[in-house]
This record gives sequence, structure tokens and C-alpha cells, in this order.
Amino acid sequence: MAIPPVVGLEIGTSKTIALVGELREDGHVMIIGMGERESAGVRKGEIVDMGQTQACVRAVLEQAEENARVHIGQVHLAVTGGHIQSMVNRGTAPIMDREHGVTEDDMDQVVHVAGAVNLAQDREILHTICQHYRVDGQEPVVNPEGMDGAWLELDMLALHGIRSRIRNAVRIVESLSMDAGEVVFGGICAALATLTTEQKKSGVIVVDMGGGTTDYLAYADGVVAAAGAIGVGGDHVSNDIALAFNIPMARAERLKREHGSAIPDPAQASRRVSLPAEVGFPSRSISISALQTVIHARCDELLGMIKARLEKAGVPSRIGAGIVLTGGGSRLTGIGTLAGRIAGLPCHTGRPRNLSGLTLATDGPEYTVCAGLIKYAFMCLSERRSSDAFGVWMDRIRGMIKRR
Amino acid sequence: MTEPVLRIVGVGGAGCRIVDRLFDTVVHPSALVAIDSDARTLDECRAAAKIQIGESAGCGMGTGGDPEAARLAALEEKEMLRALFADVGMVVVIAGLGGGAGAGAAPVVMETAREEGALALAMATLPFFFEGAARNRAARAAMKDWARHADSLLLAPNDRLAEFADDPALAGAFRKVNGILAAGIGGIEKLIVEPGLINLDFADIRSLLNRHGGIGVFAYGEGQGADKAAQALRALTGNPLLENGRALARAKAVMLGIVGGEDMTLKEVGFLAQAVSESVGPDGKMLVGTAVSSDHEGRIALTAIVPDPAASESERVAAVPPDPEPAEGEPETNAPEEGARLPRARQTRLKLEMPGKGRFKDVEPTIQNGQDLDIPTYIRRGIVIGKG
Ligand SMILES: Nc1nc2c(ncn2[C@@H]2O[C@H](COP(=O)(O)OP(=O)(O)OP(=O)(O)O)[C@@H](O)[C@H]2O)c(=O)[nH]1
Ligand SMILES: [Mg+2]
Repeated sequence: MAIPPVVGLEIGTSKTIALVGELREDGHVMIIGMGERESAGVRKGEIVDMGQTQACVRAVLEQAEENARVHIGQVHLAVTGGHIQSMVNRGTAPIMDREHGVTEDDMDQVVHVAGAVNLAQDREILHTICQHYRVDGQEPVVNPEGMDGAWLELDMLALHGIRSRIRNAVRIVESLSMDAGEVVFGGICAALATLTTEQKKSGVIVVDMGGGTTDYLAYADGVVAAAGAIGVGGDHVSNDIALAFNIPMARAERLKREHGSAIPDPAQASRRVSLPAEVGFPSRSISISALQTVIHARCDELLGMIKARLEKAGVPSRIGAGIVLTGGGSRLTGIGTLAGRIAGLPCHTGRPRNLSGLTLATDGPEYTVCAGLIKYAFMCLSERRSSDAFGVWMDRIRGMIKRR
Repeated sequence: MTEPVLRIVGVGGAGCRIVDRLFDTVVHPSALVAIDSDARTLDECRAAAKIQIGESAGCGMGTGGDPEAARLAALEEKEMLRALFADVGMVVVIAGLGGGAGAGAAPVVMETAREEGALALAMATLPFFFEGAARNRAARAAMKDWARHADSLLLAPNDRLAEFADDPALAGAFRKVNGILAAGIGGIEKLIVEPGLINLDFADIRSLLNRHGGIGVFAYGEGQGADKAAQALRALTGNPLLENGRALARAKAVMLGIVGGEDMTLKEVGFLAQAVSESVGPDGKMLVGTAVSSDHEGRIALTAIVPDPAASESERVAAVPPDPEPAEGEPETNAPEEGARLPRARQTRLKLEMPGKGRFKDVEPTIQNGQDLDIPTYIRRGIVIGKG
């Protein structure tokens, strides 16, 4: 039986997007429909007005249903927000059968132990991701099956966030009489959508720059080494511009797109843009170099913060495949160059892989997370059907919010 | 880490220098803001947010004593100020009266703070006698303007402050004086943000200050060692800023802040509260707050705010009546005493979609390493942006 289409929903700070995807025989995903609308009631990736957001989500899903000519009963969700953090938890379990070495049972047991993370009352685990195993404190291995020893250890990366905020998105979907399926961190989605197995093996950092949040996820030594989110995104850049030049937000947004750059461009330093008069604002001109200085300060700070967090999490500074930028924020001129400079790594913009269908959805960096979410959903489905459409799921990422 | 509940804003040369001193003593350095037209002053100030005003008008080196120019320049930054004051309960504004920037820009700061629903507490130094009649006249005029815009205006004449400073060199004297002011302001911050036995809250401070005129004095005293409480009390009551206690005796109300280390005892607090209440006039009202701070081990610091109805009265009556910009067509009348003050309520927000931190207002602020990331990076980094 063919796998039915799945629906991914991202309630972003600036846009709410729904994509409908089908899994094709050869393993690639075909986008057969989409809905999209400017978000309402969302700030910095977090829902602040349930009523407004609900109306917006309803409209987007209706649009997607019509567009893809499907009936939507279940929706998978991508979530983000500055509250999402990660930590590494080490679990230890005895190896029961000394004759045959580590068995699958031992591995299940240690996964269970390592997954029991102590969190503050208001938090819950969003994902657990297995990093390395160790037998009796030896060198880390990815698969310890059959190894001899007394103790099995596992390092587990746990992604967690504030329960009520994660649940808000689920609640909205349920209030529309639909099922919420998988709930997936945006950074994981961006990684799934864009990264190749090769990149993951040689180490790579994916940074998804959204309107109100920036998600990141780093692979090092073949495992997910760190992940998290910072509540700063493209909206902050626009807001900074609006404040610096005392202009309305919409105009700041336009200036950013048309003349903005994360690296001040010396060739444009003496140029000015003129702004025609608008209600309440006289006509005037703005120096490009001042504009780009404001943008540079914000981007430099944000990328520097991610670098500092990765360092703190012990991610090595030499990452073979460099940085991959996704999300609407990656459209900003010069952002890739700046990110590369700050990290001392090569950097390029990521595009969803193995994706076809609506070109708008497959080409725009804004849709990367949603596309990755659909892949994630199919992986969960195929894992459950134990079909190997995707081969071994080397990421060993588990969603903890809802699994059926 | 939470967002600062108050902001401390230094305006002009004197204000910025005092804020710089505060950097070392306050609990939340992220609460510090510096505003001046002089780029060099800002450079030397360690505030979390720095705003250069009047750059486009060509006052990059100061306003040269022109408060009106400073006022207009500050108005250009109104949105920025709004953004900084959204969601804070109190804004402490500090400046030296006598120059241009402090005198003219600070009222815009206070006005904006009040529009955002915050309590505006202003502190001004008055010029030294030797600075001459012109400066002193300018300071008097500015003081009246300030009194109309602040919830409460606390005055600290430099001549009296200098009695603490035994340094004959002017720069040295200023440094000492600024240290005293910074200690007192730091004390007020601690009372509000540090947990104590008795916390002061904004509502109490506001009602105390508002009920007793707008102008008062402020004093600070400190004691150490075994009889630290008695020492601190002597330093406070004998304080030249309180006219050696006479201002206390006259006062209808006093707010007393007591900051000590873990070793401060209930007995000491009781003794201090009792003693100060006794030196206040017979029907005086007293509001006491305490804070325990780890850097006050073996010390007790007292901060007193004493509204002075007499001063308020004389200033109010003499106040220059009209607003800086009288509404067109309205006959110029002598504004009634209360009418001179701005309405307390939040004023209408700009109808246009305006930038500001307001955009990020409904969600928890993004705080990292004590910095509020919703505030533009260039402001926090003190990068000066040409406005034109
Ligand atoms: N306590 C104290 N008072 C000062 C200090 N510097 C200046 N003053 C006083 O403050 C008054 C105003 O001086 P400034 O603050 O330099 O002036 P400004 O507000 O920057 O105004 P312009 O430079 O004219 O735009 C002076 O008349 C002095 O009495 C200082 O460091 N400490
Ligand atoms: Mg000056």
C-alpha cells in the first residue's frame, strides 16, 4: 500500500506555512500542495495570541487542502523558540550477557537510563538523540553490539523546551479537530532537509535563520553534537533598522531586502537611498553605510553567540563541511560571508534535497524547515513499517512529544 | 536572568560620568543607559545602551549649553526611549543642571518614561557657586522644567556634595562627588531588585513621593564595623545634603533604604528605622525597605529620599507656566498648579506601525549574559549611527 501524503506545518514568526508531500518510490519527496499566510499572534517563534494564531492556521490548512486536493486529518508540527535548549546526559547500564557481549537489550536499557533527564518542572523533552556508546570507558563507538565488557555507557543529547509553549502549537492543531502528529524541532528539520550523509560524517553546522528565532544544529564526529535556538532573527534586524532611522517597520523590512548587507560594502559606502514621504514621515535619505553598520552589528552578535554556544558545548572548531545556512534570514546579502568569517569555516546556503514538486516550495529557503518536517514524518512512518526507504536512520533522533 | 525592572539613565556629561561609576556597583549593569550629544563622553561611559543625540544637528561635541537644542535632539530619539522603557517600572534620570544636554534632554526622557507607565525619578546636581551666576540661573530654570516632568525630583547641590570631598582638585572633587551619588543610586537599585526582608515597590514609592510635592533631597550614609548601624545613622543625619538633619525634621515623609550584608541583624534594622522615624517631624510618614547584598558584608548603607514640601511649593508657584510648545490657538494662561504636570495616564501611542521593543513586548525578553537582545545591538555596543 502506498504511504498516504503527509502535512507539515510551521507556525513561524513571520509566516505560517503548510506543505503537503508524497513519498515517491525512489525515496524522494514530492510537494503536491501548500498553504501560506503572514503569521498572526506569533512573536519570536512563540505563540502569544491563541485566537489569532488559530484563525491563521485554519486558513493556511484550508488553503493547503484545496491546493493539494486532499483532506487533512493529521498535521506534523515544527517548533522553535529561544526556550529550546540541549544538554548531554550520560547513562550507564551493566552488560548482562558476558558471553555474547553487548546485546540489543543492553542498548535499550542504556537508552532508557540516559533518556531519564532531570528537568525543571515547566520543561519537557522534545527529542533525545543518541551520540556515542562506550564500553568500560573505552573509545566511543556508534554501534557497540557484540562488544565485550562489564558496563555500557551512552551519551544522549536531549533537546528540551518549556512545556506550555511546545503544547500551544499542538493545542491549536487539535482545536481545529485535527490530529497533531510528530512535533519536531526546526533545527532538526532544516538538517534533514538539506544535509547529505557525507556532510554529516565530516561534520557540519546548520543554521536556520527565521523571522524571530535562529535554530542551530551541529554534527561532529558523526553524531549530533549540539543543538538549540536563540530568540533573535530577521525581525530583530528590521526592528534595529526601524529604530536607528526612525522609520516604520514595513519600510525597514524593505530597506533590509533592497539595500541591506551583513558586511558593510565599501563600494557603496558613500551612497544614500532616498525614502519618499509617507504618512507621518517626511521624505529623507539614509546612508547605506549607516544601514549596513546597523545590520552588521546584529548579525555579528547573533552568529558570534552561536559560535560561543557551540564552543561551550565542546563542538570542535574544525568542522569539515562547514556551515549551511537556511531560512528566510539566509537571503540577506553577505550573511554567508560573515558567518564564514566568524567561524573560520566555509559557508553556503542550503537547499532542500530530494524534493520535487511546487517550485516555490522547493526553492525558497523559507520552506526548508517545512520540507524537512515532511521528510521526518515519512521517516517515522517507514521506520514503523520497517521498510528501509531511507536506509539506516543514522541520526537516531527520537521525537518524545507524541509518537503513535 | 530577568529583564531589569528599572533603568538608570545618565544624561549629559555629569549624568554619563555618574552612570559610568554605577557600572561597578549596580546589580544589573544592563539597566544602565547613557545619553549625550558628546560622542567622547559616551565613549568613556560603560553603559549597556548609549544614545548619541543631536548628531545630525552637528552637536557631536556637546550642545554648548543650549537646552532647547538638546530637547529637540532628544525628541528625535523618542521611539528609542520608548523601546528602552517598555515594561520597566521605574526610570531613574540623572544629570547635572547648568549645561545644555542634561537640562534639555532629560525632561524628554522623563516624559517618555511616564508615557510608558514608569515612575520617573529624577536626580540633579546643582552647579557650584563658583561656576557663576549664568550657570546657576540656567540651572534654576532647568530645575523648574524638570519638576514638571518628573514624578519626583531630587536635588543635590554640588557645593554641599563637595563637603564630603576633601580633594582640592576639581576633577578629583567631581570624582568623589560622583562616587557618593553613585553609591546612593546604587542603594536605591538594590532596594528594588535585591530580595530583602522588606522590599520597596513602585506603587509605594510613587504614592509617597507624589503625595508630598515633587521636589526633595536625597542622602547617603554608610557605616562599618561593630557599631555600623550607629555610624551609618550619624553619616546620614549629619549629612550636608540633609542640611545636617534639618531637612529631615521638616519632612512630612521619608523613604529609608537599608542595605547590608548577610550579617545585618533585625535589631540593627529596627534601631535604624526607629531612629530615623524619630528625627522626622511628628506626623511624618516613613517607608522603609531593606536589601541584603553580598558585597555589603560588615557594612550598612543608608539611602534616604526626603520630599521637601517647602521647596516644592516655592518652585511650583514660581514655575514657568506654558509647555515648551503651547498648543496653537490656545490662549496662554497661567497653568494651574497641578495642570502643569503631565497627565499620569499612558498617553496615546503613535497610531502608525512604529518600531520599538514593543514588537517583542508580549514575549519574554531574550536575555543573555545580562543583555536584553531585543534592544538593537548597535545601541548596546555603543555604535554611533549617523541619522541623516
Ligand atoms: N557632580 C558632578 N557634577 C558635574 C560633573 N560634571 C559637570 N557637573 C555639573 O553639571 C553641570 C552640567 O555640566 P555637564 O553635565 O557637563 O553639561 P551637559 O549636560 O553635558 O551640557 P552641554 O555639554 O552643554 O550640552 C555643570 O554646571 C556642573 O555643575 C561631574 O562629573 N559630577
Ligand atoms: Mg556635555
